[in-house]
Amino acid sequence: MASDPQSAANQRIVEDLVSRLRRRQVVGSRATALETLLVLRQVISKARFSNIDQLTDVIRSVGRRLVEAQPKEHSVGNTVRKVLHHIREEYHTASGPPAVESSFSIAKFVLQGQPRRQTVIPKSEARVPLKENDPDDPDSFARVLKPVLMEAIQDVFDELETVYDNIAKNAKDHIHSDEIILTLGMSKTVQSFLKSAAHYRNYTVIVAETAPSFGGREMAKSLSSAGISTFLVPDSSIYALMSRVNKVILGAHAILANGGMFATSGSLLAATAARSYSTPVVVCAGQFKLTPLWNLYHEYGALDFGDPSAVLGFEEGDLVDKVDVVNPYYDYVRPELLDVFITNYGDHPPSSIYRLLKETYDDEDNEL
Amino acid sequence: MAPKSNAGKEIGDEAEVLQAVILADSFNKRFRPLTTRKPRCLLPICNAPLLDWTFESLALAGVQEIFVVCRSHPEQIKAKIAESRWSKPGSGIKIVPILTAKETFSPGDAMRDIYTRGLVTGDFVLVMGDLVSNIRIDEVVKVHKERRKTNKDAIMTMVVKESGATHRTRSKADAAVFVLDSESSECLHYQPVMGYPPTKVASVPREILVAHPDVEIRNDFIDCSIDICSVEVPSLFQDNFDYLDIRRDFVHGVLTSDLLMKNIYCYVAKDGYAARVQDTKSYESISKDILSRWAFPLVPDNNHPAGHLYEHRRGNKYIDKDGTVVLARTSTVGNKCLIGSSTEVSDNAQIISSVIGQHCFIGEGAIIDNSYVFSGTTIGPGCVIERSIIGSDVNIKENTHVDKGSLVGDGVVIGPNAHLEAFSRLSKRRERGNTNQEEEEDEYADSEEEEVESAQDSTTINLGDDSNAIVWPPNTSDEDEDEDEDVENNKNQRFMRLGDSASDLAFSDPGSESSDEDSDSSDEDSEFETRLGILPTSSATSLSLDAPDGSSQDAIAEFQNEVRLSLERAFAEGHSVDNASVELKTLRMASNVPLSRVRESVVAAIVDRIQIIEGSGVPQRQEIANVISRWGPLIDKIGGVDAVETISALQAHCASSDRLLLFGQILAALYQDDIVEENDIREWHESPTSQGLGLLPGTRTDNIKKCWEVGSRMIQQFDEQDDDEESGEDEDSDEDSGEDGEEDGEEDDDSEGSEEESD
Amino acid sequence: MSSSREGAGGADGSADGPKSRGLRIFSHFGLPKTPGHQIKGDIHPAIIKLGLQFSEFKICGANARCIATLTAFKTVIQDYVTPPHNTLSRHLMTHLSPQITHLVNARPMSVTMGNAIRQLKLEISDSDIDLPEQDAKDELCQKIDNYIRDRIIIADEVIEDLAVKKIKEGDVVLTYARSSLVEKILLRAHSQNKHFSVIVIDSRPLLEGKTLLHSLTSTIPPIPCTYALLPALPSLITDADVVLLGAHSLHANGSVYSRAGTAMVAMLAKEHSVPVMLCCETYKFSETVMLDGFGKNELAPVKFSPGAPKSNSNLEVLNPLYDSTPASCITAVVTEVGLIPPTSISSIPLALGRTTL
Repeated sequence: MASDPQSAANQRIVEDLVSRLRRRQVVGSRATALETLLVLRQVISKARFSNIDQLTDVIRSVGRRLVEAQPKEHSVGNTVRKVLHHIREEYHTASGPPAVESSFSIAKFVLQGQPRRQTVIPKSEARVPLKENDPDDPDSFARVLKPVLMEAIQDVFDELETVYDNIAKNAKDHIHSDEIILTLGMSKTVQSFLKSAAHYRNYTVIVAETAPSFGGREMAKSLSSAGISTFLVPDSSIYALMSRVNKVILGAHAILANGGMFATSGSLLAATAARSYSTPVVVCAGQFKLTPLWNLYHEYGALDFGDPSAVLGFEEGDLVDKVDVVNPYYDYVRPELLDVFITNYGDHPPSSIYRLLKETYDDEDNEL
Repeated sequence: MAPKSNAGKEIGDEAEVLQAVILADSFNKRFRPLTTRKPRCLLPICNAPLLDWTFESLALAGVQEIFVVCRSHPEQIKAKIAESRWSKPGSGIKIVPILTAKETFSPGDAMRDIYTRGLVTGDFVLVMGDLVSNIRIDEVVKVHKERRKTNKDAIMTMVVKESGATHRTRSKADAAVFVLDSESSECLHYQPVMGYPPTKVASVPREILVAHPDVEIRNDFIDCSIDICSVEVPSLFQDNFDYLDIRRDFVHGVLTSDLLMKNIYCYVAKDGYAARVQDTKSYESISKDILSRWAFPLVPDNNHPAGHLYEHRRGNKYIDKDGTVVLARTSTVGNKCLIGSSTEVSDNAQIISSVIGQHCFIGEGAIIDNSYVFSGTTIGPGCVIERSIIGSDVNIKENTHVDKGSLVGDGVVIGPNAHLEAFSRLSKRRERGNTNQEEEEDEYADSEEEEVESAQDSTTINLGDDSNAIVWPPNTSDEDEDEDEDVENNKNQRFMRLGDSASDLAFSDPGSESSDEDSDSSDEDSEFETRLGILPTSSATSLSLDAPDGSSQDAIAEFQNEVRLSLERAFAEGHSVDNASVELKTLRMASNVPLSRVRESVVAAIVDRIQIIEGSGVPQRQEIANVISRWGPLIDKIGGVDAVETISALQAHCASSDRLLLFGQILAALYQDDIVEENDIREWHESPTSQGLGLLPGTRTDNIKKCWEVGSRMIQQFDEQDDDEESGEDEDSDEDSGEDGEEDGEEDDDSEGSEEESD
Repeated sequence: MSSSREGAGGADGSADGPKSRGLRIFSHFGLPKTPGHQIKGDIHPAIIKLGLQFSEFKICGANARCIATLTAFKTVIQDYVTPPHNTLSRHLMTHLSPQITHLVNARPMSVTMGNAIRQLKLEISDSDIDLPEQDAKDELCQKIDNYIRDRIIIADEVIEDLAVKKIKEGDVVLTYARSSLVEKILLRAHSQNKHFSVIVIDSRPLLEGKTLLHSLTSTIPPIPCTYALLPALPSLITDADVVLLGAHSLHANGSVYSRAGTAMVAMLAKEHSVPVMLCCETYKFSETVMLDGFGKNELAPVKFSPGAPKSNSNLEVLNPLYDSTPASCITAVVTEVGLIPPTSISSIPLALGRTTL
């Protein structure tokens, strides 16, 4: 495939990100997505391929390594899938128009597989014929396609950069005057959502501290400095205050294929309490968090257990031996407890997440 | 001599590359017989070699260049490094193994070797080869460098972890009491604490409490042996050839030496985990800590140092993910277990809190309880293994019972129905007819193995019919007392042993202890446990200490004798003050005696030189003046100027000798010669010791009080002198005659009161 | 609304300047009391000491507070001297009232204390006028002792017997924070050589679970325990076989007033079909109806939030200590008269042979 010095250079970049992911030196879905994108961009720009399959293979192998390094950080895989999806799109539009204009029939709909998203404007206006596997000029394929791919990747970049703004755009429609909102932990998405709504509405926020990371404290500080009336409460009083709460707004770590989500530990408590009071639960998340993954068997290890020192300090020396300490980072929240996902491409109920997945990713990429 | 691995790799090009030195040899023999053929740093813990854990810990910290100093079995270490993933391009770390000579027997020797090779160019991280940690060492390095900018004498920062005095990872046998300055975390005193003979008393030198008003005395640290050293540290090792151990010798030496004037700081890590696998007991606790995820992100299911992938199940169970592990349906795997790939666990086997390596086979009905089994081992049906470490490629045949604390070396076969007693150690018998390869290995193997082999006939342990093992004799304790001082003494080793709670040793008294230790024992981590379970650490700032130093009376008496002889020689031969002072300094260095003692001895010697001239008066004063002017400056040249102490020493000596009456004159002479000043006299006068407070009544006390009165009169004169407008320097002035008269009068008074003088 | 509302609402206290409008919605909780408050009137030193211990949270927990209060009252009664022209049965109560007010100023009255004091008043007014003073006092002290013994100590033993039968060999028991009664039950089960393990869930602000952990692990052999904070509960609840909870008080509509966070534990347990057993003595029952955790609650003082940001005009730090669990989440209540469903407390007086609680 690619020649040796390039593969070595590629390898180095990939290895660097792999080790940083393994050592959890890169934390947070958006940050990991951005890093992955940078690595992919480098890999693609240096890659040499003469047909589409070679390119996808290269990207998939890189993606596989990255996902293996940190399987709990789902945004890595998502970014790879998204890039693959864009690549295939560009390839299909560049290599000849598919016959989509035929009459619409259910049978055809099913047989066709995923319909192309009509909103994408093909980058390559000039239909330069793509010569695949040309023995005389092996690079021609790559040469034509690469600038197009770079632009596609830039699109993904832009989407990642503008995630917060897009989600916060419609915030004022979701929050009404004098509402009491409950949130927990520190999520930049939710933070920007609430702050943008604060420009138009007057409301109160109750933030739960979410031990042991205490992200809630940071959130409360930043919200109150933006002028929002904020209450900081420990997690134990979520149920006690729930009767007064109008809405629960949560952030997500990853949105799963069935409409459930992985979210910061404590979210399941808030969602369950909200369900018992029939309070709506709103989740703000970027679309890069959409994951074609299922958690039907409530896999224990998926919750990513952290180190116990935040819960039971190392200084409690004699307890350490006799006591097991459990400290998960994430909760799995089932789709029945959630009401709506607010993403940068619109609002969706949990029941239509599978549809969204089909549109965003390609089926063959579900297993990298 | 230092082969580089993978030349031509690009290293991250920051302005300063963070270097680290790993001392891969532990220089002790605690893991025998597992380490006869293999270096200790290649022993696996949780299925990854210790050295890999150390590399991973350093990689987490952002280190870019690592020097591994190997002494035992260096080829194995080199080979392991070359084939590991660290040598692949893109790992970001350059690892250089360094083979030292066979004559390096201690960490000190290794440091000297580093110095001679000149490898380190800046501040570097010094760790041992058996470290497991997730502390952000680069932050500590940043703190260290900041500190160095302002204080060039801060040569080392030790990283310690707060843990509580009874934590299981904290070694009872080889711990230490640290005395820290509360604000700057400077380490002021270091005292090693042993399990046996139990160190009951820690003493803190008085000077420290004077210089630093706010100290903390901590006995709850786990010393991870992570040090950030400045570039001068190896050269200090080079200068002092007797520095063997880093903590006991180097740190202790630097802190107690007042020539060196260097500071050592401590970084107390509150978050994060760091521990060393120093002995079999800590091997067990660190294994358990890793399985309980204390070393996150170094956890087996993610970022395993050897690259294995484990699945994390409820209850901290880790099973290898690649699908090759076979667990029979009726087998039970308890909580906190780790099972390597390709291992098969048969029916009705029970694995309880243990670590099983790769390619193992656990037979039916076997019970493995709190044990650690390395790769390739077969445990036959019906075996019971408790709290032991079983090496790799071992075959334990059916119905064998291995009791707690046993260590079974690699390749051993133990026959059916064997019974190993507690704390037994086994290794494989070497084959007759050495091949070449074995001869090379013999260079590093000890003669101990040969001795053990030859002593096999006397063993009585039932090893089963097919066994090829040799039994190592248990450590006997018939050595003489000298050995007790060493950390490696046999009884102390028991604290370090797996499975040994050594509770019978905890209360036994070793017998003779130096009688000078009358200082209060510094109380360790007093538990102010509030109802909410918050345990703040103690900072005992008030201690009453009487005798600060730890040297016994004999050494001091001997030293004083030496000083006296030396000075007599000097007086007799008319040496210059400078020569005499140099001689005194060397004496002091050799005997390691504090400065105050030296001063006392010098003052005593000088005073004794003054002859008592009958009839006192002017000739006496002349004599005094002569001696003082000739030899007085020596008092200030012995290494530090402390006039108040001089006067106190003078007082103490005069009080107990027959030159009591001369006290005032000597003092006056010292004053004339500017060895003491007026302010010093006043200061001395105000101190309670000079007034003889708190001393038992007796002749000496009375004499002390008399000297004090002499002093008061002198001060009175000073006051009068100040008030008076006339200058009082001439001998003919009234005050001076008054002074003479006063002194004569004093002498009369004293002589009236004393028993010795007759008037 | 229920009876005890805190008086001090509004924007005084530590905030600088008036709070924004939104922050006043919870002001009826009242501000957490600062210790070292004024002593009004002639208060007995034992009561002063008790008040300080309450406000510093050195004595914590419904049973402990009640026993401490009654013991202090015994001292007060013994030291009491009836003024001339007055009878003990009439005047003692007026003497006790300011003491009670002082204690309430330190921390709001618990239902247990309220019930006990009501009983005490009844006894005082029933006491025979003709008895000499010392005898009357002794009789009152005896009655107090009997109350403590019957309704707390012996009730606890009966409850322990009943509850221990529900813990089977090999069970995993989940409990929240620290209830003195649950602790006794677990230690009793352990002493009967049952093998079980305990999951202790803990939460700020008081982190009482750690104390429970210490006492459970100091048995010989130690009880195997797992410890986690409240947000980790969903991953552990599937392991649990039974949930044991303690209560501060039980109300007429079946809702349970107990440490903040209990409601969450009960709710999740119910979702996962784990039986929830509430252990509660009958003297903790209250005739009032509690709708939610708002009507009556108490805030912990700020010292329990180290590291939290300070309150300012837009930010308020609240640490409610109690919450109300609906009756639907509780499977059974273990009392000294047996196991009852939570909504049946009105049948208790009959069972106890009394007319009122």
